[in-house]
Amino acid sequence: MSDLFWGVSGINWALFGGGVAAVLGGIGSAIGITIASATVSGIVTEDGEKFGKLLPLAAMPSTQGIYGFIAAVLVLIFFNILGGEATLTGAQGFAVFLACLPVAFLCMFTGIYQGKTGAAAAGIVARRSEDSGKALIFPALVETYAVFSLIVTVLMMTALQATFGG
Amino acid sequence: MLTSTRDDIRYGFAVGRVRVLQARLLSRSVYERLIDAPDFAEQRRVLSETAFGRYLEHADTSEDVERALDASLGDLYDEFLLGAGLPEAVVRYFRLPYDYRNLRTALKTRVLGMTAPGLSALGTIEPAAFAGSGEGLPDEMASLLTRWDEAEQAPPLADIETAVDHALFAALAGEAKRSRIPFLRELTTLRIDLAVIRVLLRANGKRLAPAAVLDSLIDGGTSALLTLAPVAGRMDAEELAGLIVDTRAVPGLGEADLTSLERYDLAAAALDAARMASARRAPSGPEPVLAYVLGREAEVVALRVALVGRLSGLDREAVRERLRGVM
Repeated sequence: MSDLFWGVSGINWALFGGGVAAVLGGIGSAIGITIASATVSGIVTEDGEKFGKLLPLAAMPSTQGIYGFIAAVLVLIFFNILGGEATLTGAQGFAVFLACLPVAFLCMFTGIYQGKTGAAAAGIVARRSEDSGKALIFPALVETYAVFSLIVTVLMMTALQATFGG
Repeated sequence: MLTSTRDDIRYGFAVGRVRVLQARLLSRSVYERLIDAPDFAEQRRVLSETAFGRYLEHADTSEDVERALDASLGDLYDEFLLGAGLPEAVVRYFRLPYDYRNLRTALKTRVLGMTAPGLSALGTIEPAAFAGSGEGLPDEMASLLTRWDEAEQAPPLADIETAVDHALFAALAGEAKRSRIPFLRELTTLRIDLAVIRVLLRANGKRLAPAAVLDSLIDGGTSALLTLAPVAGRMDAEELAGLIVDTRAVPGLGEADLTSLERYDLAAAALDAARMASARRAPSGPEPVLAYVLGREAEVVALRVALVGRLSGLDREAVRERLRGVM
């Protein structure tokens, strides 16, 4: 069994996977929050009383960054990288990298699209404050797929941990 | 996705403001109260709780009202439009019509040998630049201003209208293209097409010669419509209506809408309003912002009719009739 896979060691592949999950999730959240916050700020400029009802819409895309962060931490813990006792081969490290991709890409895209949905839903609150509960439902639907991606990544890493005996 | 995300961030703040401001546009009941008001003092009281209240506070005459409404538009362009993060070409797009309105007025008074009345300060060019031979004007406007200087007799006013309209639409099409906003380009093309169809219908009604029709056409719209110019004055109305619809230049326009200029004007206004309504409903991007500004402009036009009309002695039914498309 080779220690390198495409010239990269197992630990480096695993770190790359965890890093990609954290970075892409963070990018998705940052862009999503920016999009939703821009519209929310415009509404609050004209009607400051709606701030409380609009804040959840602007904050909702922040969860994707958290999911990416969780995936990265799990890579470090599950495969003993944090304890300095990791024994991954190149191919095993590449498998860990692949396990990180669902949460990395899904969180980036759902973060951006949740921001867009939140910005559109903010229009509902601008028009009728009493519908703020309904407005929260649409961005929450997008959240579902970010949660699914985190679950898939966690299950894949759990399976890999059991297989590798990490 | 990159373009739409960039637009979401760029126009998000302005879209948010528009979502609130749109709810403050004058409602049908306000227009009804303005029409039913017994005098101008009551009209001013009705508007005191709206965005126009502070502008009309000290207005008493038609001139005061004109100045107040112009001031409200000036603030809309200066404060809202500039702060909305829209490209400079968009701000110019909204201000250019005032330059050409000034040019039209200056040109008419010049050929008729009259003294120029007050010009609008809402354009991109200082009103003083329209005096004399227009040395301070861009070349195209200056040459238009002096085009008939050597003519032995004054041109018909319709020729001046056509020449200024040509120049205005060309300038608007240029700014729409520079803005890189598809909605603005589509809206300009739609308005040019609607203007061209009007020329064709008018030519048909008056049995104009091909040369006269070609002179009145405006470039920048759907080219298939321009091919009808040589025959528009010769065929019967139904046949022309069928050919116009067949070009598919303006979807939503039926042959029944083209049977008379009155029906056509109503259909054209409805099409324009429908385009605005769909832009207002856009969830993000520049469309809701532009639709709001165009809506505010239409509101000012309607208020001008309601306030100045009543101050000038226009009766209620005449005002109501003119506001039918707005209410």
